Formats: sequence, structure tokens, C-alpha cells
Amino acid sequence: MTVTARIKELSLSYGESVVFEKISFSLRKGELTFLNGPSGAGKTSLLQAFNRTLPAPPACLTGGVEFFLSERWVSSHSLPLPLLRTKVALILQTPQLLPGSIRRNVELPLKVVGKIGKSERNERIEVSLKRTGLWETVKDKLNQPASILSGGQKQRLCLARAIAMKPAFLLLDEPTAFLDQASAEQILVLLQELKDECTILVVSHKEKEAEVFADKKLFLLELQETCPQGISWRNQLRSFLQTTSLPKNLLATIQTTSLPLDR
Amino acid sequence: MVSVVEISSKVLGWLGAFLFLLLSGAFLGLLMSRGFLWFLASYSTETAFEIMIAALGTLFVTVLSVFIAAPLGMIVGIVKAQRLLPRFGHFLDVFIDSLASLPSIAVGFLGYWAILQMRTYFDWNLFPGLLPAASCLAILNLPIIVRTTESAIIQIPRDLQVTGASLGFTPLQNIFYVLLPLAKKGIGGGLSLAFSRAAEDTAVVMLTGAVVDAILPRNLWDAFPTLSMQIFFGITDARSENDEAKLFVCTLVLLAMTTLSSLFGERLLRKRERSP
Repeated sequence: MTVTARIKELSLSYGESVVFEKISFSLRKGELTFLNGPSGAGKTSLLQAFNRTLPAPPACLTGGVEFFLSERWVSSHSLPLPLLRTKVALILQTPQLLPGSIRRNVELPLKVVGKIGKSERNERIEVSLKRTGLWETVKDKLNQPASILSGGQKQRLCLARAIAMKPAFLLLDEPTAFLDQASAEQILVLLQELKDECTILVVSHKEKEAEVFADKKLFLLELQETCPQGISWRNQLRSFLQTTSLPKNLLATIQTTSLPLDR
Repeated sequence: MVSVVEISSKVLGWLGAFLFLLLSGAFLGLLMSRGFLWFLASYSTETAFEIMIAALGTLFVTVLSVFIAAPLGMIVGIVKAQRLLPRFGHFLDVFIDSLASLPSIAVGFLGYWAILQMRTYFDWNLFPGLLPAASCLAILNLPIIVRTTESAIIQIPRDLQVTGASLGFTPLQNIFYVLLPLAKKGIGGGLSLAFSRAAEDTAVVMLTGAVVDAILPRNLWDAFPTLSMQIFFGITDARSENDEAKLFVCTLVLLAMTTLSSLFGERLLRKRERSP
């Protein structure tokens, strides 16, 4: 499993308010990484920092995000935005549908951004809808408005739209938050299948899902004091879990087998 | 004490609603009884034809004015909503507000003056007609279209506004493929309201191209009749009961046109508020 994304001392602030400070970690292809942490710690903002969808200004982002693309390391800031966002797909917590039909939702990015021909577009639409388990439900109503779908189906449609573009990185913000258990498992199984094709980072509060499906767990902590020098993150996390009074913001990496997320 | 306030506010509410219904009912009743029914009793093909021609003239100039104002108004609305020119946003606001408070007679006068200047200084063979009148009405309607476009786009939830961008769309592609389709009901509502306002205008068309006894225009420079002109000049020319009935029917037709357009526009605006 090779490292495909490096995050180096990434800090985000909105004016005086610091969201997170100097966090560093890496992501690997073939590894399903789950990110957990309390509300307001900056998990969604962290995902948005990857494909530069944070509103800047007021968001002030420093530090680096580097991707391993086309056999070389590139900084997220050196890539043109359309290319970056094609390679680094972000799926938000609430399904963000494009206006129009189910087909249009998957087809439009392929046509407008990918400049892909019609026959390949149709093929990709079918494949991605099949992979997300939507094809049987929607194959006869592809031209109906996407708004007729249920919340879970909309979320899967967004996932289908993202994977149809064949991204190198897939970032998902609580993709199973509004899904029933069966649909959630279907999505998570799909993510496990996809982890060899693209690098995946999932924000999730569901610890049971992380226990079962995560290869690596990240925990974004919102802490109040400055991180003492010379203490490894693992010790910081242990201390945090024991005392809950340690550094400002800390991104801790735990292997699934080493430490449980629950304290 | 609270119950007294509640009772008095209810009484005031009922009284207000009753007075409003009474006034509007009396107005519509007068129009119907004096115009429509009377006119049906002494129907004349010639008068009906004149009214139809005037209604068509109104329709032509109004639709043309909306066609002229819509692209410019929508572009400015999008620029404002998307803050594409943040430094000029305030100046644009000042201009839009000034334009919105401009009386229609002033726009008509400026249009008429502009036609004269072009004839004098550029030697253009320009006359008051359909296109100059529609252009002046377009200026009058720009603020409505700008503001409704702006508010229709601003009301799209922020997450949806950035959906296109997060999929790799350029700002222009995002506007065309995401924002405009989502805002189309709001923009359509604004265009309908602009249509209503243009249809009822008299001052602008009187100075820039409408002639009371004109036939339907054959080109963009021809004079044209409108319902508002029929009413304005008909008041002084009415000599018989039939002439008077014609004024009432003109008023009814104009009212029907503006009401239908406003209802359609408001329906679109309400739909926009309900759906994402």
C-alpha cells in the first residue's frame, strides 16, 4: 500500500477563530481510512481543504496537501481547480443533486468536465449506478427528476456521480448518516471494493462501522492547550483520553487493532 | 388586558380585510357591469377589432421589452449574487436603486430626447416606434429583473451553489448548468412581474412610439397602438355610450393581461420558495 496523499502542517482559521492547527498525516491507496472527532473539530473543513472548496476568504488555509498523481507528487495548489476537483471527489453529508433528471446528475460532469463521448458516458452511467446498487431501481426512470429519489438513494446517486468520473481520491462526509443499515452496509462494502482503485477518506461518527470496515482510523481532537514538544501523537491521544486536557488540535492516527476509538 | 389587545387586533384585521374586499369588489363590479355587460349588449365588430389590435400592440411592445431587458438584467443579477465584481457591488446597488425609483415619464422623456439627438447629430432616420419604446420600457424594468435574479440565486443553499464547483465545473459552467436551472422559477417570476409593469405603462410608450389610431406594426420602427393609450386618449374623445363602454373593456383586457402575468409570476416565485 503506497502513500498517495500527504498533509503537512495544515492549519485552517476563519479570521481570529482557529479551526485546526498544524495537522499532518498521510493516506494510502488500498486502505479505507475513517476520520472521527467531535462536532466543530473541523472534519468537513479538512475534507474541503483537500479539493479547495473552502470559501476563501474568509477561510485562511496554510500548510500543504500533496497528492501522488500520474507518478509524481503535486501540491493541491499547483493543480488547476477543475482538474483537482475531478481527481479529488468530495461527497458532502447532505446529498447535493444537480437540477434535472437522474441521468443528468451522473452525465453532466462526464460531459461538461470530462468531455467524454456519448457511448462511454452511457456505459459509465450504467456501471456506476450498478455499483452503487441503484440501477435496478432507476433504470426505467433515468429521465425523471432526481428529486423523486429517497434520501438514501440521493446519497447513492451522488456516490455514483463521483465514481463515474473515476477519481483518484474519494472523500466522503458521513455518507451513511441518513441511510438504513442495509443501505449503509451496501455503501461501505462498495467503498471497500473501491479502495484499490482510489484513495478513500470517510468522515464518520459511527464507531461500529469504523470497527468493521476501517483499515485505519483518524481522530481529530479539539483540544485547548498547546501540544507539548517531544510527545508522540499516540501518547498525546492516550493522555487526552485519560485527562481530556491536552494540545490545541491534534490529528491522531490509530490502527484498528491498537486502540479503540471509544474511551 | 391581553385578550383586549387580541380582540381589537382581530377586529381591525377583519375590518381591513372587509374594506379591501369591498373596494376591490366595487372596482371590479363597476368594470364588469359598465363595460363588459353593456358592451355585449351593444357589440360592434369595429370596436372589438380596435381593442384586439391595441391588445396585440401592448403584447408586442411588452414582450419585446422583456426580451431586451432579460439578458442584461440577468447578467447583472448573477454578477451581484455571485459577487463577481466585489468592488463594484456597491456602485451597482446605487445604480439599480436609482433606476428603480426613476418615474416612467422621465424614462419616456429621455427616450424621446435620445431619438431626437440621434436624428440631429448622427443623421439617423430614427422615429419613435416599437423598438425605441420597448428599449425604454426595458430600462424601466431592468431593476425588477436584476433584483429577482439576484435574490433567486442568493436563495439557493450554499452547498448547492458549490456543487458544480466541487465537481470541477468552471464558474461559467456552474452558472449555466447549476445556478440558472435552480433559479429559473424565481427569474421567471421576475420576468412576469416586469411584463405586468411594462403592459400597464403609458408615459413611456406615449413619448417613444405608441399612436392611438395606429395599425399593427410591420417592422421594429413602426408606431403601434396600446391599450393604455386607448384609455388615455379615449377619456377625452368619448362621445357616446359605446365609446365609454370601449374604455371599460380596454381596462378589463389590460387588467386581465397584467393580472394573469402577475399571478403566473407570483406562482413561480412561490414555487421557488417551496422547492430547492
